[in-house]
Amino acid sequence: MPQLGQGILKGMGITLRHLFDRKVTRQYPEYKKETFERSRGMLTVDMDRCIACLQCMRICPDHCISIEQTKRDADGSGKAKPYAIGFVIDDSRCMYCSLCVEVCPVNCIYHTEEFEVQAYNRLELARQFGERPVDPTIDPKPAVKKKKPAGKAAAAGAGKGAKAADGEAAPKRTPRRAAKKDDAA
Amino acid sequence: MLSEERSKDIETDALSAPAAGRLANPDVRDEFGLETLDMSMGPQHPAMHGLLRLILELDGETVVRCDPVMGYLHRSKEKISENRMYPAVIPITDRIDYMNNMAMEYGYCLAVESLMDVEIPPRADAIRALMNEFSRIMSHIPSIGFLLLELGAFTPILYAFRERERIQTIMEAVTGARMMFHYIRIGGVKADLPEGMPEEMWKYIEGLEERLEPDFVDLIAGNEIFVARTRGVGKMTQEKAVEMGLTGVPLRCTGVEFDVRKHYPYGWYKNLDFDVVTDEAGDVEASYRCRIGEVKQSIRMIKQILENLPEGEVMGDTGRRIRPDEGDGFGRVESARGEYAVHIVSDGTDTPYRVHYRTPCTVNMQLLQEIVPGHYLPDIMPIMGLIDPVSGAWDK
Ligand code: SF4
Ligand code: SF4
Repeated sequence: MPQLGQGILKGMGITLRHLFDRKVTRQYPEYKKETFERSRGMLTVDMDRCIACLQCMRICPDHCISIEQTKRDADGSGKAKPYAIGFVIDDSRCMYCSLCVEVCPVNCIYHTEEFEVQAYNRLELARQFGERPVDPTIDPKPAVKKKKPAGKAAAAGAGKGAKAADGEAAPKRTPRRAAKKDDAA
Repeated sequence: MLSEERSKDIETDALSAPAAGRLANPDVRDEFGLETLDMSMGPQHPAMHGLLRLILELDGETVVRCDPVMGYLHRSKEKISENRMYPAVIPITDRIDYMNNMAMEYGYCLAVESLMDVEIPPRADAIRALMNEFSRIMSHIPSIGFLLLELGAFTPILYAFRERERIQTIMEAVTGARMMFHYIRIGGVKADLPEGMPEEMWKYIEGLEERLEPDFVDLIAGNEIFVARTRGVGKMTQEKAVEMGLTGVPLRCTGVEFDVRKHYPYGWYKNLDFDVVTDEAGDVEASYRCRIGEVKQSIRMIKQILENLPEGEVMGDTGRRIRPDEGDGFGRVESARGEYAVHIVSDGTDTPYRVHYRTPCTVNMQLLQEIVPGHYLPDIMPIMGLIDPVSGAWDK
């Protein structure tokens, strides 16, 4: 029978050996952890390259990107193209899932290495990128999906009010723009 | 609908007498005229693995009855999943069992893929299994640490988190996040392993193999206090475990050999050679031995995968838009806590009609009601360590 206390002594030996090991902790605010190429930190947008295609806004599951779109001849080509005059990313809702980054056709929205976010109120966490501030409290995708049988939904026309506008890179209209088109017709 | 009376009853129950109504005989007095004591443990209790409330009836220090109350971390995962596109549900599944996220993603993706006509490239399958095993180590080692922490030993949790931190660093380099990976996608994985990553993983795994024996076996297994607190505690028979529908370590530590990876193999597990770790004793100490054994098996599997990692693509062709066929999709995987299954009903649109997550914790938690009575109050902590539940997973 092993002597009582042997296990404890053995354990003490192990912890004693670890006393002389290299330290694994780091003094956080002074020494930050390394980040990697794929690390997903806070998002940022390169507004010069954004073509206002709204795909990031549509795919975001947490509705945290709002874009105000207008038409402008930004590159002097004489043709008015869609232009994002207002662009807000609400960090208080973002879950850093990277879906918007993957869907952007010109790779102008991307993760930075920044991961420390703090503010005294929620609205400060909404970061504005465009010329004109966008109200982050207004849900960019208010349409609620209605459950319709598949056949009925298809008959009702391509996504017109039958589905939420959160299509994955889908060639669909946002409700607002769809409404405009209807007015014109 | 509950009748008004009944709902009023429930309200008063919750506020004043926590257990009245469910108590067989609320007025138990022994021969000295002493009553039993009702006590609420949790929901805010450091040893409750999240938010769990136990309604205990105590006779001195012996527990007479134990009622777990779940639902304090209910986040409505199943309903949220109904309102999202198929790919956008994956980040939600990450947050179900936040100690073993990779298995949660894997189960969901398997369920969606069962409804689709998509071929998973072999390299994607291998990487999925590889990351899953890392995720299992990342979950098992801290759970051993938590068990010891709740018994009053502080050292093992530090060693456990040292290992977890190192795996998290590997995971961040591969997936981009430290916990909420969002890495396994419908049809494959998000991206290939970065340059030089297999070598780094190999180096880490060899190191872990060396450290596992002294830091987690020699330090703990022979310790007299550990043995005194865990041997024979939470003992259950095989029949009981099967009857309760347990899966995972609580089942295997009674000697029942059941592992989804072995008996219903999925993905790359078909090509791997590993053993199902079982133990005969069926108590807390046996569950600890099982977890150590499983970490060793995971190490063995990771080595096998890394040795012959197939080349090629990591993403199958799912089309631009993920729209599974109408019908029922089902996927089951072995998560670190037991069998995790996902059932999806699809109506042919691009959002699921209904998603159900069968998490092992919800089932394994019922065990508390069965095995805690008769134990001393401080034995509840090691029994929680045996079940090793995660709050996010039992409430969903
Ligand atoms: S990372 Fe995810 S949650 Fe955040 S803005 Fe992009 S899509 Fe939305
Ligand atoms: S997806 Fe990219 S280009 Fe399109 S609106 Fe978003 S940031 Fe701009």
